[in-house]
Amino acid sequence: MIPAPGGRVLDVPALLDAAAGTTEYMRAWLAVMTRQGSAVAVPSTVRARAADHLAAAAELAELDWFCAAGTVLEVPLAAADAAELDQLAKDHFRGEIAAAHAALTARRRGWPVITTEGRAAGFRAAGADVELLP
Amino acid sequence: MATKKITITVDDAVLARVRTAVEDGQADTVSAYISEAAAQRVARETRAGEIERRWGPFSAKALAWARKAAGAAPEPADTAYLAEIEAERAARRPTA
Repeated sequence: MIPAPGGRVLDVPALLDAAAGTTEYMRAWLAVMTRQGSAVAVPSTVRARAADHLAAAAELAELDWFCAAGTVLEVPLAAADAAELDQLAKDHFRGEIAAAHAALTARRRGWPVITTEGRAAGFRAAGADVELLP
Repeated sequence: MATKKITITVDDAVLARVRTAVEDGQADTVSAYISEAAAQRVARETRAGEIERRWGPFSAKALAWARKAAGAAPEPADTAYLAEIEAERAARRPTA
């Protein structure tokens, strides 16, 4: 039997790379994830923060197209998680809620977070597995 | 929808699970179950093809990393590309 591959959670730099097309890695990765039917979790706060960083309408359009892909699941921020997210953000991410939201999503689903080497320590300290961007 | 009768070969263990699913009411027939699975695969391939047409073609190096990051089975050349990526990452690290 072929085991069903698990999902992955995106941090802000991974989603930015996909939207801006700075490298081809994240876009190639989405094609692979889609082909094998694996879920791509995009926390709503990660998407919002990525959108804040994008200046061009064309890049925002690519962000929307990425998030509309069949295997992308946008994860809303639940009011019930607010206190835990605030604490996670304070303890491991210098107050950044988007990173905390990605970490909490990853921890609960048991899926790795895709992020940069520079941000990985916070996720590991928060109890999430990490897959590093190239 | 028009249908056609075909003969296929299925792994014994998979077929046993399919038959159990049908007995449990998850599908009307074995054919319906297999057809739905095939339709889902076709939909995934179609969507992946749309991504490749919009943003591809992707380099072998990018696909090597993509397979690793997705937990997909590696291809023979992937090890060399992944070593290259790790070397590039190491070169970007600030020296102590």
